[in-house]
Amino acid sequence: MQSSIVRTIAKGPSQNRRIFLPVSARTNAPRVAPPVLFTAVMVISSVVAPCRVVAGEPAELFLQRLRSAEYFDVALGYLDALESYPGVSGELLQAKHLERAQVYFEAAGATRIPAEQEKYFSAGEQDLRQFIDENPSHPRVSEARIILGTRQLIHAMVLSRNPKQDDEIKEKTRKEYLAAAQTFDKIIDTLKEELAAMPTGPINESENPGLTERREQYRGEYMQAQLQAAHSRRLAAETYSKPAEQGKELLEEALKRLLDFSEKYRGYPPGTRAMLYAGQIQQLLGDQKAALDSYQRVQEQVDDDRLRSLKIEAAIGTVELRLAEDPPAYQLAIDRGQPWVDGARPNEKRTNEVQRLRLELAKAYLEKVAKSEKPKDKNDATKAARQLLNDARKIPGAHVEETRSLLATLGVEPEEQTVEVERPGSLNEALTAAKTLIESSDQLALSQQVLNRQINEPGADKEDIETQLDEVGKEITQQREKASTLLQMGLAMLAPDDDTTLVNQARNLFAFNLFRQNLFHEAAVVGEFLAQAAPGDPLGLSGGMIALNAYQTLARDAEDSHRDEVMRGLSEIGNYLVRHWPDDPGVAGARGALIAVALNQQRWDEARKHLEATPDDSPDKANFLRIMGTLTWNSYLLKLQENPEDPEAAELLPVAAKDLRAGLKPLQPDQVSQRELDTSLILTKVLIRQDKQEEAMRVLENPSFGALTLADKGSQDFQFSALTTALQVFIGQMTSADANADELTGKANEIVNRMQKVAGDNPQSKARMIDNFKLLARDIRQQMDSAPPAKRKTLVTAFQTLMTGLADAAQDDRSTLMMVGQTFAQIGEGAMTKPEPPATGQAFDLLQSGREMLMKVLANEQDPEERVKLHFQLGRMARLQGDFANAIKEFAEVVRIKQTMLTAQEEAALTYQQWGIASADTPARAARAHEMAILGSRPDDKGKNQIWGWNTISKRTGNNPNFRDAFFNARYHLALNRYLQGKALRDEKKMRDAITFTSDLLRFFPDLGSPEWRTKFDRLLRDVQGSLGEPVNGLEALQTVTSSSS
Amino acid sequence: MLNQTSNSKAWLVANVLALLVAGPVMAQNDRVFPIGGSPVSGPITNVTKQGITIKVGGTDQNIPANRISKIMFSGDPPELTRGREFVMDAQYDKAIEEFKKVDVSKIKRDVIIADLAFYRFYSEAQLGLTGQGNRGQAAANLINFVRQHGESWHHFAAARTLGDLAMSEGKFEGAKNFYKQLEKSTATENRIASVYLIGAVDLQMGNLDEALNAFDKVIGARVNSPEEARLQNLAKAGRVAVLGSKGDTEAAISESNALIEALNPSDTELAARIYNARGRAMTKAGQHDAAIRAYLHTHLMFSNTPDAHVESLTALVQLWPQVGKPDRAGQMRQVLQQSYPGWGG
Repeated sequence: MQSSIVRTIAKGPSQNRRIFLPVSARTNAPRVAPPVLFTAVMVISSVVAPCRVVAGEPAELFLQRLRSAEYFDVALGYLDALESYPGVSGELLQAKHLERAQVYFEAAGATRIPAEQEKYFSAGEQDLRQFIDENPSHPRVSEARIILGTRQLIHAMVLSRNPKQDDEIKEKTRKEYLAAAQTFDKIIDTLKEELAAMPTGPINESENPGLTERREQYRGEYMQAQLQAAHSRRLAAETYSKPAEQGKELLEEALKRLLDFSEKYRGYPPGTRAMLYAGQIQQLLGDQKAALDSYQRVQEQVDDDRLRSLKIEAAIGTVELRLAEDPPAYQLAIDRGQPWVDGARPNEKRTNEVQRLRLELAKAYLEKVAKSEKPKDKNDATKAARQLLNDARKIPGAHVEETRSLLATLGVEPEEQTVEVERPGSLNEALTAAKTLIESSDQLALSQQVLNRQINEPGADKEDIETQLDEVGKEITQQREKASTLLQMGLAMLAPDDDTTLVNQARNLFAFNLFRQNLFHEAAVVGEFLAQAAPGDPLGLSGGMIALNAYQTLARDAEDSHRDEVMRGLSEIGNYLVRHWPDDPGVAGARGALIAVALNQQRWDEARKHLEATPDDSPDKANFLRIMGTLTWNSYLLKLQENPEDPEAAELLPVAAKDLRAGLKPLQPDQVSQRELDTSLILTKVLIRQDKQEEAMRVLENPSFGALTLADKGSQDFQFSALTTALQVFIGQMTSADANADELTGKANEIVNRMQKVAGDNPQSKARMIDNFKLLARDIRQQMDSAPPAKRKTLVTAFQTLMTGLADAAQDDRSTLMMVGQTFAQIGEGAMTKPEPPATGQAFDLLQSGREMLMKVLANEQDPEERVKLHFQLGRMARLQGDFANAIKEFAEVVRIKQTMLTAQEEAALTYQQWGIASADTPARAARAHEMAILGSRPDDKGKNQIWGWNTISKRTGNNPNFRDAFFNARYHLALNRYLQGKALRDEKKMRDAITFTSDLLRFFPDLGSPEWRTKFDRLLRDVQGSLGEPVNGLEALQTVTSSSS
Repeated sequence: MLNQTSNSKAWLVANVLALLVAGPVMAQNDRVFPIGGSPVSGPITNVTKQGITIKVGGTDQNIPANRISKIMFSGDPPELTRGREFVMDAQYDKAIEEFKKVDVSKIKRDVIIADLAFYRFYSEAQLGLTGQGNRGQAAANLINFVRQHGESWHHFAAARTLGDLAMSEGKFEGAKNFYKQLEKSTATENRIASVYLIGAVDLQMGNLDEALNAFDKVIGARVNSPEEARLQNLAKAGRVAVLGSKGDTEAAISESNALIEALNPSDTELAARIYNARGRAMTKAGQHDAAIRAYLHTHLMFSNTPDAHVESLTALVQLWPQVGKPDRAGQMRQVLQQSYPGWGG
């Protein structure tokens, strides 16, 4: 992007009254790109009085609207007829010429035809002069003068851009600059008088309403006029072929003014600008020292973003001056310039100033190459120069030619960045030529495809084909670039009476070609413009769709920090397309994009709105319904995760089901991939949660998208998941009153067989299968937890049937037996009606089945680690069954191998404890059991108990914060067992020990570990106190004691 | 859906609050909001197409239908309350969204059901008039409404809207019939409006003499309210249109100037009618540039009265080519097709 020519120098008190002043380029031909010119003109034209709403003809508002709609001709006609409208304010009637000028300037900005621009500028200037001459005391005169001066500057800049820079043009340009200078001089004189007549201190607004604002406005304009008066003279001098000689007087006059200004307004951005200009003039006049000094002063100004571009320009000047020294002080040049290049911000990297700096800096490095003796210094400098030139070359501008020739001296032939294209004679010609090029490139693209196929064929001459591919690729790129350049040139030649259809065709082709060139930003811009220029037109729709696709591509590849902005663009064009072509099938994609944007930003309502507005036969609708359904299911799960009792969670299920059903319905088997299968499975799960087992099974078995029917299409994990879900459904069905248990069991067994086939002999697959069963078991256990007793029983029976079938099918397969055994254990424990053993009824049977399975496994298990695990599980199951003796045997086996396995030690101690409780009818045995729970058993050959008991457990865990909970657990059980022991023996002392143990604990751990433990200890103490016939007040008693003893 | 969840909660809260606000279970405390006056509370004891009777402090107070801005009934579902406010703000699409949520089976009072029906169908009609809905369906619904709730205080508003819909479909005789219903109102404003609107239909039909008679009748009437005075201004604008159509350009311009001079630009309908009328006069006089400027006033600044906007766009489609700007005619055509599909039948 070219450097911004137009800058804000100073703002008046009203934000509307910004004065924009041009910054010259350093060469004799300042660059003013038409879009920038338009901006400048538009801004000039924005200096208007605000519209007021009063009775009568709403002239100001109408004029604004006419200008916005670019009905400039109508606006001029309206102004001509303004007197014929009743109620128009006298002020506006008087300012008619000012308004006309504004219309002309806006028209000049809107047109791309130089001749028309010139015509509008002249007419506008004429009207401005007329206004100023006829209304010297009008409130808007100062505004008009500033506009005039600025307009003259811009006009001169436009002239200086004329490629035919002969003496006549230069003379004309100079005259314009000088005219501008005179205009600004007049402004200075007028404003000086006005300001002198105004008070300098605070103003009493009630006596002088609006005067403060006017004074500030005048001050701002006065400052700008001074700066511009100087600057215009300098620019006028630069129109000479030898400015320092032929324009010396002008330059010296300009310099004097700038130095005065920079001194007076030092600390303000305009003052800094004046310093820069002064430096540039000094440089031009050959006063190197003064110029360097001025540039240095610019660099030394405060860190302010508004001054960065000025400082970069000052750096350019410094680099140039240093290189002009004899000998060239290249290192000083590099030291000044390089930091600015390195520190250029993203928005600065493409500016004109930075490219010029790169170019000058490269010259400094080239000087270094020439002067350095060491090869390394030469190489480094060459590399630096090349890098700078390559970077500069990529950005269009006046510097490009020089950059290229310097690169050529480095031995690097630059690639053609811009393709040379013969300027077309008309838009039509451009369009025709572009179409031919695009068609040709499409043909080449086909050849490219053929070559890509050929290269993979056996016996292909890969090297030759790669060369061909390279050539074809370059040719395609070149042709597309040419096509774009032609279209751009053609569109720049628009005349007001050009056929709109032709113009839009060109724009459409341009957008399309840019897209093909992967210039997605550009394609989006052109496409969007076309859509807005031609609403309702098929070409407009085409442009809009190109823009939409471009945004989608950009969104896909955007970095996170940038994605929101791209999504915004996508959303805007999408909404626009939907609004203007609501029924066009092509716009379904736009809705899809809007839905995608909304989903991405978690705006569910909006996604839902667009989804509902999408026609049912739209190809993407089903896909989005599936996505929405999945998201609703996820929301349901999240709700339950946060609060398992959340009553609102269930409300999401029917919504999810509805979307998923509708989304899956149109699918055919050949359209089903993993994604669709996953969605189908989700629907099944939703239906299971809704207790709709029959429907869930129908979905599973659906011929088009059923997860069970098409499980083979999915990954192994998916297959396990689908089959497990099917099992879940069968189990659910088994719980209904009229279930045919045998039939369902048969079906379940088939599923299990299928799972085993999927797992094969692969140990990891088998492990995954077992994991799935464990998940199923956990799920059923959760269902059991909340199920009423009758249903719970049925669930267990169903599951038992299933698992037994599985085990039978597996025969002696270790992994299956392990899985089934563990599952039985889990379910069995879940089926216990009370937490303390012994398990009874169904629970007992399940645990027994589990034990039998695991014992089978143990019988063939060689691995010591696995044996330990098996013994542990067997011990646990035995404990739960109340088979305490065997439980202890199992745990003894564990601790014999792994004495420090804490969980095994705890289980063993717990076994003794529960043995004692179960033996309450036999006090001696009970007491002995509790004693063993405390002290442990099974001494080794050194006499140390291998089973530790709670006492040793508490000692072993007391000092380790990682086992804090285990410590308090041990201490609690220690006290409990002591109490129970005492109770069995009717020994009050022993019972009271429980209190003592707790009291000791409390002294060191006032919180007793946690509120939960506190509660348990409190309850225990109450039991003890009750048994001892003492007041039952739990821990309170201890607290009184401990506090009185401390 | 998550939103459904939060809406369910909001619904619940709104209902609870509504119960609290409504006061004791058995008391019926309706609130009538007159145009330009303070709300009046009490039980409404009678509702007819001419107005309502409300008991205030033991005394019956009659309020004519045309002087009522809105009524909030005791027992209004919160969605109706919200939707009604959206209608007042001319946010018809949002209003309809609210109305769709109402469970009619839970509404105990017929008068509330009538209110709900009217506002919903009225909103659909307004959307239809701006090209965002089905005008035919909207008309059918309103006709049903009138049949089922013949004594609703919305009766005359419904009739007027039906007339507007008929106009948009090019069914001028039908429009006249609907507008004629307003004659049966006891409110002078409605009777004056009836004459004016029928005159406007005649103008569209090209029955210039009949139109002029109607407008002159309105202009000559004694008016007692700002609304009636406004109708007179509209009639004056109509008169300008007639004069212009008859070729009496000077008179048309002169009379339109007087209207413009006194014009409050915030009355966009009146402004649109005045400038359209002026445009019509200029067109007849062959002053195409001036006509374009006039119609552009409507299109660029006063475009929110659908039939007036359509009139200006239609005229501009014809006029732009006359001044050598056929591409601008294309732009106007596109706006017409986009914003008012099927207008005029």
